[in-house]
Amino acid sequence: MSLDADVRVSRGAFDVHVPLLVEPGRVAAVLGPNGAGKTSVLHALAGLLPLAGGHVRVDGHTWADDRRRLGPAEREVGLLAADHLLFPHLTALGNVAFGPRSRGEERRAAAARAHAELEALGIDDLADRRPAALSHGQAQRVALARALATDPRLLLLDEPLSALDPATRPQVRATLASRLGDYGGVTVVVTHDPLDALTLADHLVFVEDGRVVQEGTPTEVVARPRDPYVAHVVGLNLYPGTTSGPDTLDTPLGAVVTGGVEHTGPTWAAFAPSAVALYPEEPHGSTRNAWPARVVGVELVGQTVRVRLAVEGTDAALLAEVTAGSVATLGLRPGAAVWAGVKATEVSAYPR
Amino acid sequence: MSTAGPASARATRRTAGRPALSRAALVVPAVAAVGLVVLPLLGLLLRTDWADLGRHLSAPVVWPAIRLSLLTTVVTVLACFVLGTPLAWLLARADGRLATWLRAVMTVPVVLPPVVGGVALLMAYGRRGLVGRPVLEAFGVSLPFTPSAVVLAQVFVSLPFYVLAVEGAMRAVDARYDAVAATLGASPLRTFTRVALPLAAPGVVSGAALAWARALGEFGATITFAGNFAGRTQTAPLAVYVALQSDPQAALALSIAMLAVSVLVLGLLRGRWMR
Repeated sequence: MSLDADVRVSRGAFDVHVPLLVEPGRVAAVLGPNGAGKTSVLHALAGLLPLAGGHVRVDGHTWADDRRRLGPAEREVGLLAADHLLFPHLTALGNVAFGPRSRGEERRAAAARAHAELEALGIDDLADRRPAALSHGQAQRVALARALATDPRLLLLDEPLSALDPATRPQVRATLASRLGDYGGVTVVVTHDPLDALTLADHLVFVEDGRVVQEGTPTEVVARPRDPYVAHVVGLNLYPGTTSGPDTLDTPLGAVVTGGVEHTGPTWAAFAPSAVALYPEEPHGSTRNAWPARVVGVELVGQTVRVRLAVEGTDAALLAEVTAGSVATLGLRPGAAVWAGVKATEVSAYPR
Repeated sequence: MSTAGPASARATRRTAGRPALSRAALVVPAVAAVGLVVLPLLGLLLRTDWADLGRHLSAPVVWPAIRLSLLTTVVTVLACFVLGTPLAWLLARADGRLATWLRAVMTVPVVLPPVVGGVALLMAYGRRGLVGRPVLEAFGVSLPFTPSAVVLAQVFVSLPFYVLAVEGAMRAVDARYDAVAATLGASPLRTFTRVALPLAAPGVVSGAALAWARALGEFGATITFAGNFAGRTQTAPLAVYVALQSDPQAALALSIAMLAVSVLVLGLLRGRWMR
């Protein structure tokens, strides 16, 4: 089962244009900031929103194009939203059996199917509960079972974990990842959480202002972001530039020395925040890239401290990751002047 | 509001000095309002000949009227449910100019004097009416002055109450449930019967109660369009009005019976469905 879609939707302020090609059994994640048009893409795939152009084809069947448009009930889709949207008047079992019943199954067969779906997620003991008696995490699992109980060719997940509290999110994410592993259809998950995308998806599509800015496998994208938003999501410092020598680049930071460049012309320069070291004075020795900078912000992320810096004499911003100890010894408070250094081997350069 | 500041501050000082008077300004009209509603009910209860209530209830005018009223109001509520619920659902999910107009038209009988409604019904279903004349010529059936006419009159006045109440309840049903039901393969009819109707059930019940109460009290449209024939079109309110001239105690007994049934229904609904 494969998805071949060229989704064009009009959203008033701007148009959304997102092509999607997904192989059977694969999971594509659509990432983007709020208001990028991600949910519109999902609703257009589900048939809840008309296409302004393009097409949606699943397994060779045309669901929508210029001439025809199937309604949501005629498409074989499963939709899971951030709010579980379980019917409050039905039990968990009744909710899961709703789809099979709607598609003409006998009452008994639909109930058996619903039990099987709940069993597959390890929550068959909740079958007789009403949604009001379920926790958010449980309800989201029931909603997943309901979406899968109709054997959809296309499973659409709209921010499936964003409404869960941080404690239950990892559990439901694990359930989701293992269940998607057994699912033979195409899954499209919309999210703004990079962790969801990296743990669930085989293919990432980054959308900004209704346009695809980068797509690829998680490995490709994490190693070589090609857009400031993507770099922000995967947590890298990224600068556009041009090659100016066998191992040097000309970037908004100034000249950057790399471990070696094999191409010439427009290039990206990327390095991890953890590769940035901070010094009270200009560093000497093996650090070949060093810039005077001013601290803009300091925040604690897990066990490390993220320091946002403005590089002196340029418009460029820089993100450094240091230990809590260095914050104290260097006196890293907003406004403080430091030197930021990156080893040449830590900078990767790839064509722009 | 800032320009009114000094003046209102003065007013506050003036009334704050006489809290009892200021309180009386609120309590006196409130008590009068309660009295206006309670006194007539008290009058009804106190002037009833309770010892002979049974005998008065067996007066010939009473039972046929009660039976006709119960029968016609039940049919009316069923008609409201069967015809009005789909309309309420369609209106709840429609947001076009047509829906706005339909909503306005459906509200007219709420504000229309019932007698005018009766005249309108005659113009439509009467022997020379818009629909009445062709039906009479084709099938030899005449609607006015039959029990069916009683039901038509009651439906005309109570259907709008029902539709407005149920539409409100169905509008409150989250539209995302419709979308989910559709992606699960539910047809529009199935979404209506399995999702909208159960979720709006409390609204449907209170709408039905409103419609029933309005139908039970119907007088003007009924007497104009259906007439006042004992046993055929003389509903309880008509019987009360007629009996008041000939047998006041029977009228009182009938009124007590209607009051009892109404309070009973209100009480049953209040516990379970109404807030």
